[in-house]
Amino acid sequence: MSWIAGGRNSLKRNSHKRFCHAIDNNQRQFRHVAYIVEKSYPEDCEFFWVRQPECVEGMQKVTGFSKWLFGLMAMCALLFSWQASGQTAAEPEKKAEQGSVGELMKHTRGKKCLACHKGMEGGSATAVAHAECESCHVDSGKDIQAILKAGAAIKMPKNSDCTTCHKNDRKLMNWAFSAHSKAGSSCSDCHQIHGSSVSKGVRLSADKSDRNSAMCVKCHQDTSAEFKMRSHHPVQEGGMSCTGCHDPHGDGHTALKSKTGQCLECHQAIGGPKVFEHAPVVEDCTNCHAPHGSANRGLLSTSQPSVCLQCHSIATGKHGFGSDPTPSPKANSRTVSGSVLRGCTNCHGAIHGSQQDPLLRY
Amino acid sequence: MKLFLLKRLSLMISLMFVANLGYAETENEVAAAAATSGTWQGYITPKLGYFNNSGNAAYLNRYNLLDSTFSHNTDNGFIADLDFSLLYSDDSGASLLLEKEGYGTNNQRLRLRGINDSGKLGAYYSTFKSATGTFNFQYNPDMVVGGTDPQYADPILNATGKTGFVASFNNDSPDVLDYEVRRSNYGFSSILKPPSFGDRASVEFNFDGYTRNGQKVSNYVLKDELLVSKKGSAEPYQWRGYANNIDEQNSKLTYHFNYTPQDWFINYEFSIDKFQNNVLPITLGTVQKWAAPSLKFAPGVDFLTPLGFVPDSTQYTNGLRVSRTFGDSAVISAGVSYALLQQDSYSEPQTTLGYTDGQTATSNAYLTGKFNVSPSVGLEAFARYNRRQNNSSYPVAGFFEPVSQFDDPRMVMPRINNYTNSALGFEAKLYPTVLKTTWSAGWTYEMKERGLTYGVVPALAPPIMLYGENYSSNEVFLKMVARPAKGWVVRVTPSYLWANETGLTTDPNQMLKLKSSVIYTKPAWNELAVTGYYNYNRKKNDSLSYSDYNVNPRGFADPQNQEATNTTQSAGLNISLVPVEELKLSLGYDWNQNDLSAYYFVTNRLRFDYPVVYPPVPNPQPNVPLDFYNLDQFNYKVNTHTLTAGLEKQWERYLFTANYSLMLANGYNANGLGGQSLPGVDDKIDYLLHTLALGTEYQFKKNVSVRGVYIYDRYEDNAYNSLNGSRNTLWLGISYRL
Repeated sequence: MSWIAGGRNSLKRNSHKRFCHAIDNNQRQFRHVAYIVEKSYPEDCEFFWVRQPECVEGMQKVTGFSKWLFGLMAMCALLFSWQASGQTAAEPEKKAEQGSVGELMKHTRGKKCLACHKGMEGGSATAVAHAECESCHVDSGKDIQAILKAGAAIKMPKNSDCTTCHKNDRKLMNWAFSAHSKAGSSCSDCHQIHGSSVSKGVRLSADKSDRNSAMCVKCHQDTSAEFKMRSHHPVQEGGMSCTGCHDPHGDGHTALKSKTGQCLECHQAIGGPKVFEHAPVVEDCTNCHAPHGSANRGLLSTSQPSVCLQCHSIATGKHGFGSDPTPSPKANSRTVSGSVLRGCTNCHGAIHGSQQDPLLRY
Repeated sequence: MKLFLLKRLSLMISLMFVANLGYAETENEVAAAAATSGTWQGYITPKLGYFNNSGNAAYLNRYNLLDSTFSHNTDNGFIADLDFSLLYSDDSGASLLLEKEGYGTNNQRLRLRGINDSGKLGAYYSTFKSATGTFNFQYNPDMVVGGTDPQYADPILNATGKTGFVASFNNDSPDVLDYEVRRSNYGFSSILKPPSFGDRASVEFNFDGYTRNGQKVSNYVLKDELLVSKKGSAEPYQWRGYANNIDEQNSKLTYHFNYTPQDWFINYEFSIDKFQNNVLPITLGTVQKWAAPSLKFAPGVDFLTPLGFVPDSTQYTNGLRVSRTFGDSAVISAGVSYALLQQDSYSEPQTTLGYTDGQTATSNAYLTGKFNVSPSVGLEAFARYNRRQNNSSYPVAGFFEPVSQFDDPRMVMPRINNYTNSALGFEAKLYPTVLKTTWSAGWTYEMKERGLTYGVVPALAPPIMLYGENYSSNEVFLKMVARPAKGWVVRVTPSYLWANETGLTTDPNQMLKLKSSVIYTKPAWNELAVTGYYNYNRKKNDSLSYSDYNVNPRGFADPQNQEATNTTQSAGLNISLVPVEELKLSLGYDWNQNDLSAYYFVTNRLRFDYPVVYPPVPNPQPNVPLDFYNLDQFNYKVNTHTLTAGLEKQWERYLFTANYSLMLANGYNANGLGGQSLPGVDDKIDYLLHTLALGTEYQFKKNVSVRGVYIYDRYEDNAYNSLNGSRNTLWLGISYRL
């Protein structure tokens, strides 16, 4: 005798899920799928199959009807259920008819796996998009049931599995040449497929960095230390992200942008074009600046006047004590005051280039 | 009997009724399920913050400007805010994520991201207010206690009315200098996968924009005798500044077309990037109006001279990338782009004198390939090219020309006509199974070419400046990644560079680098994870030199080499473990050192004021030979230490966290003769920053938790005591889970 399968809390859940979709419309019979009876009924399991004998026993215990009334009731329920299923559950019925585990898995979106692997469902958009467990954990064409029966382990996906689906992602175009790829990083090192991206408010630390940056500094600890220096790009304050400057999937060799061009994406006021240019600015901002962090003001790699004196001499005739424009024969005849040395840019304010002044003062 | 039948009949009718209900419910729910079966999850957290500053909190506020929501007080007050992180998803795999995190009006970020089978879309908005130039403003002459060096006001020179250019700083604008700037970023992105293209093509549209609003100090130094006192005598104070507004807007529209037929990947990119400066131009005439009648300009001053002019501009970029994969054996990628940066607005002098086209064109290209010769041997090669061409108006008579202008030299530095940077390299990899070690060896050649036009007379040109036209270098490197034992990973990468010629002091002609790290993990022992690293970089340039110049006899004296050596080192050790269940500990130490030494050269006169041709053209300046002098070798050296400790303990419904970080730095900006003359606040670096954060979460109900954190920051500056300050911050919030 066949019975309707249903969930333990079936009265509380969607009715269409109460019923086994393995209905053969032609034969108008129910078809049961074996369920591993050793497993206890998980609370969240919305879909389980019951073996016939136990179902019968259970039903007999639960209802306590005499045989004849039980049969009459069953026939009535059968008539109404068949009518409902036949009119409203066409799509699931079709999928069930195909009979493959893969199709059922697709329909349930991995819920069978989640019955045991709690917490894997995640709470992120990524987890939702990757909800078909077998698409990453089962090789194409293989049967997960066969794998389970053989006692084999479900595979852990590799980078090549990710790029099979994400092959059209522009950001991964040059992944093979990226520093992360060469270092042997796997996609899962940074991307949490099963994790949750929804976060509670009120952080329990002083760090306000975004999720990406918090991930980066777990490996790049030397850079993390630089961000703690007193002059730094405001990553840990939440003002920007590591990915604002860096492409984690790319590499400098495949960048169609100069070093200065990268900085000018945000600092366009410095980009010009300028009439009077400052050579190190044209070529590479890191000639003078340490972009992650520095103990010096203005993200300078070394402070003024040191950063300037390595390239420039100082005219004592102009910057020296008691500047008489009449030059002295000897360069060291006048002392350059500390108030000059303390900040070259106090006077040469247009240090990144000027539209008007060849001496880069304004 | 009748009662028996009545009971049974009632039961049957009841069952039929129930079955009907089930049918109806099934029909409605399946219909609904057929449409959507979406769910919401996430958190909504209203929160309240309190902050209190003591001492000078300018340093602590430089990135964390807090304004009270209820009183606009920046010293202390309450802040109300709302955080949320909401995810909608349905059975089709579609999802929509909306999240916001904020800390008052000066720090907010909002993000939207949606995904379905047809594509993706995203949007973001953030606003962040900080001190202009971060804490640099604290060292502005009007901010430093004592102003400029009083020793500079020489009494003897005062008698002549000339105390030099840098005796005192003067704010000529009527505005109070307010050192704050707000940057707001916003954008929209979409990826569409038209069904007609199948899975092989997609189109992306991105819009990114930002605005910057605030104020900064701008300065201008006038030439001798441009300022006169009321009596008509030359005004000695030439160092002048004003409050300059910042009002900028940038908008960038980018279009991508991606096509992936079989093993190919083709990407085309086009973008328009528009920058707009909305601040009205400031000229000397503006300053005169501000400062009159106390400030008077001498006759002949050009009041149209713009100060700090920032023009509008537009950049157009085209790019094409192609990549092809050859199974598992090889992948080749190439790309080319062309960008044109066009100046859209011009100053009055530029327009008047004919400088009407400001433009730079940038070309980039790359070609790279990776080949797996065998399972244990890999090869990689690359070539990269970048060229920046200056297509701006040139020459422009009276404004920008290589013609001698003794009274007003207009081309002091050489004009950079173009700059080309190209590199090519090769790397071989070996993956032997012995010792589970990967070896790589490689070589890189880099070249830089600068197309320069020097001014005729007077102007800077070699060998009286440290700027050359060419640079070429070779670098060899070795990489090793070893797994000597279970749980261990060791990485070592030494490299050495040598240059044949250099054109900038910051171009190394010798460089030795070492990057190394060690990772040890033992999950079985309290989930122990230890990471350590050491990095070393020493670069040196001693190939550039100055020469004295004597008119009689003509020629240059022996060159004097500049020798700049810069060594940076960093090292760190970080440990994390879980000694008992529900208790996590972490401890870390990082050290960083930067050491720069170079020669401190002085000259007796401005180099561009000296004729470098013979016979010299008439020169009003006395014909005194140009003399270089190596005054001293200065040294900059600063050590930075960072100590961090963290704890996380779960106890029943409570979660406790504690984090402490200490950063201290000490060193000197310049020792020797240069450093001796520096004022105290600029002579050395010596500061401490403490940050302590104590956090708690109480799971009030299954879907409600109360979270709070107390943060104490303390900054102590032993070189500049007025910057000492501390801040207390407290955040409390109730987190509701959907």
